[in-house]
Amino acid sequence: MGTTEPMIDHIGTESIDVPVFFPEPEKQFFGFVSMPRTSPPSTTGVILLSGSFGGTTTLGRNRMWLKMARSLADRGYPVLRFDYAGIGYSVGELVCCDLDRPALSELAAGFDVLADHGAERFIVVGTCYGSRTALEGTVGDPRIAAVHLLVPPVRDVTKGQEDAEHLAEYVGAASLAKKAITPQNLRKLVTNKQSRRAARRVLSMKARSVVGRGPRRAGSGEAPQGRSARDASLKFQRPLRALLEGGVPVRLLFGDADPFFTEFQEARAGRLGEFLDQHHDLVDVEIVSGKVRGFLTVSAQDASIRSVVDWVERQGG
Amino acid sequence: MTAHSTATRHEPGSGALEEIAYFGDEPTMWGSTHVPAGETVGGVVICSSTHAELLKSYHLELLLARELAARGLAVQRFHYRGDGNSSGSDEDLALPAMITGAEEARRRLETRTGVSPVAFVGVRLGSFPASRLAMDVAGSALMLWDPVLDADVFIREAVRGHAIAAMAGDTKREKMADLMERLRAEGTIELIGYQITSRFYDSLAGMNLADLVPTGSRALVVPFDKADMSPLLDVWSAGGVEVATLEGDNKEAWWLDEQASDTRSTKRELLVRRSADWIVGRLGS
Repeated sequence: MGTTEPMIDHIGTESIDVPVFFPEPEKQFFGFVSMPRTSPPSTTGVILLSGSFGGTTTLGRNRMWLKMARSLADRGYPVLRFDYAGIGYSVGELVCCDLDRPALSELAAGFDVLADHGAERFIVVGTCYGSRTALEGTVGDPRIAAVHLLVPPVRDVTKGQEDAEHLAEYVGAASLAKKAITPQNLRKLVTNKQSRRAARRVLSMKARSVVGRGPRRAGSGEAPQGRSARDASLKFQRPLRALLEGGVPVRLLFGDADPFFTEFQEARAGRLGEFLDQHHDLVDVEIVSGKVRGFLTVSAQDASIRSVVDWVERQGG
Repeated sequence: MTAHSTATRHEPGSGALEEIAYFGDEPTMWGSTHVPAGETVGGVVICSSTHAELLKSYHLELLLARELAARGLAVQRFHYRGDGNSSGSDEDLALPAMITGAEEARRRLETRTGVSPVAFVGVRLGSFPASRLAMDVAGSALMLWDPVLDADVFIREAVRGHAIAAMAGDTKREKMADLMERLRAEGTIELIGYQITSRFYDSLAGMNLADLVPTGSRALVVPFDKADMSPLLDVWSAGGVEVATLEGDNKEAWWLDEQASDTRSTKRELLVRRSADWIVGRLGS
C-alpha cells in the first residue's frame, strides 16, 4: 500500500458508543450503535458488515470497524456494527461465513435498530461475507441510499476452496513453497488433518494449472476461458444489477494486488462489465495500491476507512 | 468518549444476566458483567490480552464467563483503554494503565453486584494485571491461560509473526533492529496490521511475571503449548503461592490466524469446563 495521507487518528472524540441487544424481545444479536454527540444525528444511518474475524465481528484487525464507526459518528452519522449469529454475544446458528447464507436476519434487524435511533435511509458497507449480505439484503428496499463493497468476492467460493484456488491460480510455485515452509504452516501440516487436506488441494490445483488443465498459470496473462470460469457469480451479479437498476449508487474498493481484484477485472470483461458500463453514473470503482483484503496493514485499514467515510459523505447528505 | 446506556439480556442457557456497558472515567472502558440467576457465591475478574490476542481469546473468555455465571459466580470482563471495544487511542494502552483498568473492573463488579472478587483470570499478557490484582486479595484464586512470563517476549513473538506474514507477502519485511529504531524515531510501529506504540513497548520492558508474587493465593497455570513455566512456578512456590499446572492442549499461534480459531471445538469447551472446575473448587475449599 502506498499512501502519503496521515493515518486516521483521534477518532471517537465526538461520538458515543451504545451497546445493544436486538431485536426486541428476543435479543438474539449484539452490537454497538455509534452515535454523534451533537444532536440531532443525520437521518442517514450506516451499517458495517465485516467478514469473520476471531471471536467477534464488531472489531476487526486493529479495531478497524470500531474506528470506521466512530469516524462516521464523529461526522454525524449513526452507525451499527454487530456480531453475526453464533459469534461473540450474538446467539443462534453459526453460518458465517458461508456466502450462500448471508446474514439477512441480522441485517433486517439492524435496520430497525438504526431506525429506532432516528435513521430513515441507510448506507450499507460490507466486506467478503459482509459484502454478499450487503448486496442480497438491500435489493428492493427503498430506504437504501448507497452501498459500499470492500474487496467483494465476485465469484462463489467456500472458505477452504477460496484460499486453495487463490493460492493455486495467483501464486507462483516458488512463492507457494515459501509460504509452506513457515514454522506455523509446517506445524499445521504435521498436527492438523484439515491443513494437510488443504495443502493437497492446493498442490493438486497447482499441478493442473501448470499442465494447463485447471486454473490458468499464475502470471501467464492468458485470457479467461469461457463464461463459467471467469464471469462473476450470478449471486453477485443479480443483486448488484438490481441495485443499480433501482438507482442505488455502489462503490467497490480493491487493492491492485488483491486476488479478488484480478477476478473482478476478469469478470468485468464479460457481462458484469456490460451492466457496470450501462450504469456508470452509479458505479464507482476505487483502486488503491497494494493489498486491501484482510486489512493486513494500517494503510489498507486507513484507505478503507477513508473510502467509506468519503462515500457516506457523498451519498448520505 | 462516553456511552449512555447499558444493554442487558438473560443468557439463554443459564438465565444469568449479561450486562454490557461502558464504565470508569473517560476514556471509558467496555465491560460485560455476568450475574448468576440464583445465589452469587463469589466474583471473578477476567483480564484479557491485547491486540491480536484479544480477538483470539475473545470467545473463549466469553465461554468461561458464562460457565462461571452458570455456577453461581459473578464475572466481570473488560477491555483496556485504547484496545478492543473500549475508548481511547493506541497511546492510552500501556502496562500500568492495564493494571489500573483491571482495578477499575474489580470495583465495577463490586459496585454492580455487591460481591468482592476472589478469583482472577489472566490470559497471555493479561496475566500481569490479573496477578497484580491477586496480590491484594489474600487467599484469592488466580488462573492464568498461557501466561506471558517475560513481557519482552510478547513483543518478540509479535515481531516473529510479522516476519512470517512478510514471508507470505502480506506485510513489509523488516529486521527487528530496524523496527526498534523506527519505534524510537517515530513513536510507533506496525506489526501485522496492529499499531504498537513506544509507550506500550517501554511499559513492558524488563517486566517479569515471576516478580508479581500473589503470596497466599492459589494459582493454576495453564500453558497452551508445552511452554516451560518452571521459572514462574519455582519463584511463586518459594514465595508462598500454592501453584499447580494444567496442560492446555490448545495450541495457539497467538499473533496469527485470528480467522482460524474454532470457537466451537470440543477442546475449547473442555478447557473452559476444567478451568471453571478449578476456580469453583478453590472457592469452595
